[in-house]
Amino acid sequence: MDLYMNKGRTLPKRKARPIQETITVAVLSLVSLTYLYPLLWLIINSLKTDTEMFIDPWSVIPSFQFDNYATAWVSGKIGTSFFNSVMVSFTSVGVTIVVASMAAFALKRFKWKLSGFVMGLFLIGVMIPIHSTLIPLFMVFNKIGLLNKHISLVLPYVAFALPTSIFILSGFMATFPKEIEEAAVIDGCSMKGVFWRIIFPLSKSSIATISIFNFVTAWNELMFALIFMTSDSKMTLPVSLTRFKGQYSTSWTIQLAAVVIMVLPSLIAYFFLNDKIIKSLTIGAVKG
Amino acid sequence: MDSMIRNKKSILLFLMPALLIYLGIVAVPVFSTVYYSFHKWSLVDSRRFIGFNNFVQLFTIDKIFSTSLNNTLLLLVLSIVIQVPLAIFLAVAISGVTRGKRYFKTVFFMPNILASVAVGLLWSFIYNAEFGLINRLLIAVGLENHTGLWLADQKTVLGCIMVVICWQFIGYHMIIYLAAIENIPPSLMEMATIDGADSWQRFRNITLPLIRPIIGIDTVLIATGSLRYFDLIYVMSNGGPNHSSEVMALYLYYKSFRDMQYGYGSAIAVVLLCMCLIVTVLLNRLFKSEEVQFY
Repeated sequence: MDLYMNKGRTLPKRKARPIQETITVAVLSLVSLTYLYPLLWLIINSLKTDTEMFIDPWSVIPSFQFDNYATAWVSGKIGTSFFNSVMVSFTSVGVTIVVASMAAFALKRFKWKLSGFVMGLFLIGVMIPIHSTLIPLFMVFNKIGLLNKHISLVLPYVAFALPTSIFILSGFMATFPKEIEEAAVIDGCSMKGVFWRIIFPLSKSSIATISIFNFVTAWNELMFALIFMTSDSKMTLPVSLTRFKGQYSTSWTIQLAAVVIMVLPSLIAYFFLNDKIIKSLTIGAVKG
Repeated sequence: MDSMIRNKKSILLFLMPALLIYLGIVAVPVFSTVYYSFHKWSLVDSRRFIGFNNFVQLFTIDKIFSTSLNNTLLLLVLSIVIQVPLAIFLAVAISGVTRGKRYFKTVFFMPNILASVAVGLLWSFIYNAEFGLINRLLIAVGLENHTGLWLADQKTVLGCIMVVICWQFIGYHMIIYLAAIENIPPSLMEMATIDGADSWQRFRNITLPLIRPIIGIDTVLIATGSLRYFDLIYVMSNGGPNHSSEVMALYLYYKSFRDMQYGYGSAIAVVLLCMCLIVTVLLNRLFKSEEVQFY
């Protein structure tokens, strides 16, 4: 084998590799610029005055108009929306974690005839577009006075997060040995105790996974929020940004600043947690 | 022990919160939507059964709906045809790189964590006719007469939106393919190299057949995702100019929540739901037909 390898057929290829790789890296670097430059451009220009940007949108050193941010945050009400988004996203993720892991526990750690059927029922949810629930939900929320209350966003965010979350959690819980419950029960633990003291803590890596992708989804969601949150004081960030366009239609740099406020938290989180975020956003897709 | 893991009361207790939320917010409303779609119901009309009239009107009279249906299908096909090959290309390229792999992965995936609203607004600045990067770039390189209105031009608006869709989502699909490619045992590639296969032959005869099931899954993802496009188009063109970039989700929103035609809006929602289900089943069948297994 060694002899054969040295006969020269593979050797020229080895030499050719670095050139091929250099070209690949060059192409990929160029592509990566089309990803980074727009964001950089956005941030730089959000710190300019309108005239400054119109005269030279390319210039790299802005006059640092932090006023743009102040205006967007205070008079543009981006600040209020920011806190609304934080509230709604954290609540949705919190509720999803508890409710989905309880359901996964019931589906995988108990023995009952209909568990497969119920699991299937949840999984069908992946195929259902939110659009086909909008009108009935709007009617009901309107009737019982939940419009412009954050719970009318939390409920659908949790509901649509359940299929994938339960799928991931139950897949993980199924890998625990059966002896866990037996040992715990012998020690005098109830099933409630088994869940909260053993299964739930053991599932923390999967819980982290579902938390990340559900948070990203809730933070970015537009359609439900656009329809259910119409009052300025209740809007989440995405809705607020769409309104902003009309409100500050003549003042571009303030709009740019508002967009930066929306994406900056995501980018900072991504800078530190990129591996985890990529994994948790793609895991549901591939396993499904 | 056995009685504890068969205890109906505990099962219900753990299952109930999720099941109630899911049934109440997802399952029941889907059936209500189907029910409403057979009714004439708007802010001014009280609900009245009209059979299939809404659907007949959608498919025979409503010009805007047919535009939105065509655009949705066009975006669906383009999303698959453009994104799948490019994502595979990027994945193959990155898998062959020894240094900087993590940097490229991270950068290409990045737009997926950003809100589509923010991405749409960012790109509407880039497309802006006055200060936008595209026109300024064209002027800078001496192509003044190729500048355009982009999102404000009926002829270019869909293409411009398609570019943004690719920009935002290709990284996601690339990651999926990259994971599949890195799962291929290196020994297969080495053997093929020894047998004298060049990189194209290795790609064509090893990589491609082995990632085929993933291409199937990914195509379903893109297809069902593209039927739901709303955010990007809502902020970039709002379906305009003159409905030229109207898509189904957008039209559904306008009919239901601007014109307050709940029955008619429900009918659009039903069509969208059916398309999601049909596309999923069809594509799954297409890709299930033959699966290649090595080793």
